[in-house]
Amino acid sequence: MTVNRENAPDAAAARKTPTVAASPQAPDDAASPQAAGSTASAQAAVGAEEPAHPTNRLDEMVHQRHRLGILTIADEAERVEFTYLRETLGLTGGNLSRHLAVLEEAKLIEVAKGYEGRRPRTWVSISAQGRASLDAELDALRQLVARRSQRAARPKPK
Amino acid sequence: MSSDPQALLGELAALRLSARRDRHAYWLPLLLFGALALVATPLYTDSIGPDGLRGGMGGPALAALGGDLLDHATALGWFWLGALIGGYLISLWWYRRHARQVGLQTPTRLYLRTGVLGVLGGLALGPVLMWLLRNSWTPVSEVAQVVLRPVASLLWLGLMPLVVVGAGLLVLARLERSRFLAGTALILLVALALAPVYVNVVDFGATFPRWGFLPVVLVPATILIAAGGAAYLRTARPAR
Repeated sequence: MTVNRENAPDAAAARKTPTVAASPQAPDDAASPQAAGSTASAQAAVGAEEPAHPTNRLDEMVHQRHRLGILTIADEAERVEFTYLRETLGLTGGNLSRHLAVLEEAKLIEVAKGYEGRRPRTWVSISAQGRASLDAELDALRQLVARRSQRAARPKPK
Repeated sequence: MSSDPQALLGELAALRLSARRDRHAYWLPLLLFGALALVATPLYTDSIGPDGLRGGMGGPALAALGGDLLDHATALGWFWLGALIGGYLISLWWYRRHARQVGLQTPTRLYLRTGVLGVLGGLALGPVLMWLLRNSWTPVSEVAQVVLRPVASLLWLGLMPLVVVGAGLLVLARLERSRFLAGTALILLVALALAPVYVNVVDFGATFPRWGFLPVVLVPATILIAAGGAAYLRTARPAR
């Protein structure tokens, strides 16, 4: 499964990219040529029998690995400082700023800038929407893991 | 970070734990309140003992946290009023300083609210209990004498301030998401709940020593200082 589309963030691209949840993708099985050749009605029948694949619930805005890291750390505290995020996630200042801008524009975090003495400080806090998105993302990932475990445990046809 | 869901979940859990460890700063409130309890120890000395007849202290309302039983109840009340206010304020200052240094801020509003409500509740508890036990409708006072007896015992022994400390630590444990602190707070509260029991275990008879009540404050102080020391060592130890 390849869900990380980018390493360097592009705020504009991320804004334009519809979330996976909003545009359901075909499940993993359908990526094979055989599955791709199946009819839409067959897919609909499968969809009616089984719940939607967990990848449909992954949100690209949140799923990008660094943004997921930012949200995870921000969810652990009331506020987190820019320097802590930069050092913990091993990002450059510019790269982190762009990720924060993407998340702030999506209203998943709030950014407060100020000074402590003469030292500039940027504090990041997760919003209620950000917390809900993070929970949904983690839930979808857990479902993916559970689905994979179930598939591995299923006896293979001879 | 990995793109494999299982590995990704593991890395996120590690990231969360690492942030939580960096955020933990509860060793100072534990050591601070433990030290304050130790400082208060001389005020828990008493010349009469638990079974002696005595009149009410009749101290000022603001000194009500010291209870109504011990020789130094009024001084104890003033001490704990200042110690609780000072202790909570120092704890808040400490969390702000820690947030500035580390870059992760713990929410402390609920902790502060618990402290304020605890102090006000501790001050109001005496008159409310007295009214319920003595001046209310007979069936109410009879039930209150049974149900509220343990609470009244803690109040009279001057232990309500340590209950406020325990409640604050329990709230702090939730805010810090720390099982260690939650366990410490629960052990402290259980030790306090048992204080009226173990103060009467040794029968001193007519020769009650002045230090007879000291275990009620020494045990909680030891719990707080031991847990604070352990928490400090855990914080100071480099993460593996």
